[in-house]
Amino acid sequence: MDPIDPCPLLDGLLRETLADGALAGRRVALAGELDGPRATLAAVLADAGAELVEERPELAIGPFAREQYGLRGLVEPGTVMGAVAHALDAPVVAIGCSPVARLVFSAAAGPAVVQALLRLTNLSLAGRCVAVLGYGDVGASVARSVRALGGHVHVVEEEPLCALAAALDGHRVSEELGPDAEIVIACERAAAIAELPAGALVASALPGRLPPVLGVVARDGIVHAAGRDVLGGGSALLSPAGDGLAPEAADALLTLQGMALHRLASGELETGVHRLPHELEESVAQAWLERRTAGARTSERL
Amino acid sequence: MSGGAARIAWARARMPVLAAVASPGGSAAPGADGDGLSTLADRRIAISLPLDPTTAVLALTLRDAGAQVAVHAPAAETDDAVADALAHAGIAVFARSDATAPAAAVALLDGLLDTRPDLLVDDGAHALRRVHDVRRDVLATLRGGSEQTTSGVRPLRELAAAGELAIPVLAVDDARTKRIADNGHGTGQSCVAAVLDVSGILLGGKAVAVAGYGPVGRGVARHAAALGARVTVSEIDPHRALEALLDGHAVAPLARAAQTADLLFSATGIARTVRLDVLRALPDGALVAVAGGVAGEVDVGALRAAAGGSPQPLARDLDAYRLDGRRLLLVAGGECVNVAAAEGNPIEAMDCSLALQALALAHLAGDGAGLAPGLHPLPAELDARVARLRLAAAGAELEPRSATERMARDWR
Repeated sequence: MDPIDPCPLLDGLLRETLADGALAGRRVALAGELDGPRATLAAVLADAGAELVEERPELAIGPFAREQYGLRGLVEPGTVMGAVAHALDAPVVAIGCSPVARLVFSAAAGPAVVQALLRLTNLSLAGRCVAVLGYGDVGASVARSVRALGGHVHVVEEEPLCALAAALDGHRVSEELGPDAEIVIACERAAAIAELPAGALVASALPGRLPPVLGVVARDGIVHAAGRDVLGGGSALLSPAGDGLAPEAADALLTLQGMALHRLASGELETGVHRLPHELEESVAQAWLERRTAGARTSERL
Repeated sequence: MSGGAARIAWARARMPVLAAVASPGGSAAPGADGDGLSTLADRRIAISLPLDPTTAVLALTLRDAGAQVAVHAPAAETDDAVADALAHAGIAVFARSDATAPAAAVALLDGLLDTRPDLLVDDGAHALRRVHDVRRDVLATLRGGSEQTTSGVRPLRELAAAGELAIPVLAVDDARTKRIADNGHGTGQSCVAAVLDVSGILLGGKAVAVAGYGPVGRGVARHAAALGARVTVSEIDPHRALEALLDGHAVAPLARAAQTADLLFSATGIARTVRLDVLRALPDGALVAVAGGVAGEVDVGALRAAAGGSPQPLARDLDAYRLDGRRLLLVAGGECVNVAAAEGNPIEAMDCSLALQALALAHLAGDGAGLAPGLHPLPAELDARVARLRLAAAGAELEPRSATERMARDWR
């Protein structure tokens, strides 16, 4: 947590936006743990008059299962494809392809993953061979951070556009994982434990990329299973909803989710999948730009 | 296995260089051309280093080589779980994280010295200074020492220049392998990572001021920039400042760099680098941390007086001081941040440094037994052996020397 001013955008831009009362009395559900910045989002929604519920919500910030029928609107943190399933019943705002959301992951995913890896292992990336599985926004960010800290990156990617992007960024690229990787980070692409090199240290940046494993605890947060050391037993370091990111980045992502919820509550959207309008993306970007540094925060406080 | 023992085992399995120098000649490992640590059998060795899992591995390795080992660490640099596990393994441990009172701290250090060591591994020259200032009785048996840090080599060099150093001491910190693997890469990475752990800030787009551009400052600047920070370096030395500029960092006096800094790192190893005027220049919410470091590198006394009282604890290892209406966040009380707020340098960096230490001790007990009192470099062939072993561990191969190249070198 940024202990001084953990969530300036949720507490600023979103709070101001919700002051029009659009959420007053609405039943709203939030997926995920209500800790860190998401606790601030919950508080801001509650202060705007929303009733936070777990059962039968009118509006929700997902991901949510299809069974939550009766929804009048859903904010989907993942991609448009993930949102399509819901689109028959209610309007859905998909955040996954939002320019600001992509910026958040591009800037913050790599540092967060590398940071967790260093903290949990007390190892170094310098001079190590590190395989990055998948080269979307998260994989590219992880690859950039690993290389910047002295690691030798090997991107595993089959999709030609993403593989080309990785190659043009200067990474070694192939379709298959080779035997020489000491550290494997599953990003947009999944891996079976058995195809990972023996003795490798394995981490999953996003949910669903590694199967859950059982083994002995090698160190806090690391499970030794089938000859590999698996961070967190294969559970993901990040989520599309913003878990695991630095609070500053999560603040921007959750603000985006809250702004999308506001649009749904305002009742202007028809059933179907929607993106956020560009002006709204720009307003979040502008607010983030202005509140980014300690120096920028000083003037308002004094 | 306890948490401490598990972390020691984790580290030991990832320290191939130390394992290789400890293995006797005939080992198949490239570079393992020495005779192991056989000269250390039955020697009494005192280790005064931050007590983390890697130091524990050094202690166990020396014990396995036949030495009688005792370990000491200051309170702020003691990991109690590791200390307990090490004591459980039969090593004499003089370290407790709650021994912060001056009398308790001195009692632990004296406990180490009471083991009448033949050889002493020191950090920051704390134990060697105590020996020379107060515990000269220890000199009756002490045959040599080695120093781990830049901030320890500096006072020892002064002591040696004044002719007052009573034993031979090897400046392990000056070894090239140590400078490259530990001071630059290891300390830089782990200090930046520790501040991010404690504060949770996103470095992308943040302004970071770094005081000092020696190996540690260079490493801190490189790792901060790698994670997206804009770095400004302050230096008194024109060559180092020029290097910082050409490495892509801005160069400015510290009090000016502080004006816009979200995070200020002191990496000079000099007391009172971060004076009150520098602290007053920082914006609201700025973080202050020390990398490497000596006691008092941040003038905490002056800060406390100017802030008019005790700080507000915000999180583990994070205190907020109120100064001129702004809040300054001091990380780990101004102690070296990677040791005080994290697990110390990365295991691979310590693998090199502690392999150098093991070779330094073996040298002092063997070929170097006749060294005159004073500060000496680690023999270059030992330094190169550790670099070769580290390369071999990573599967990297050197270009073989050609006959012509050998001749050119020999004729030079």
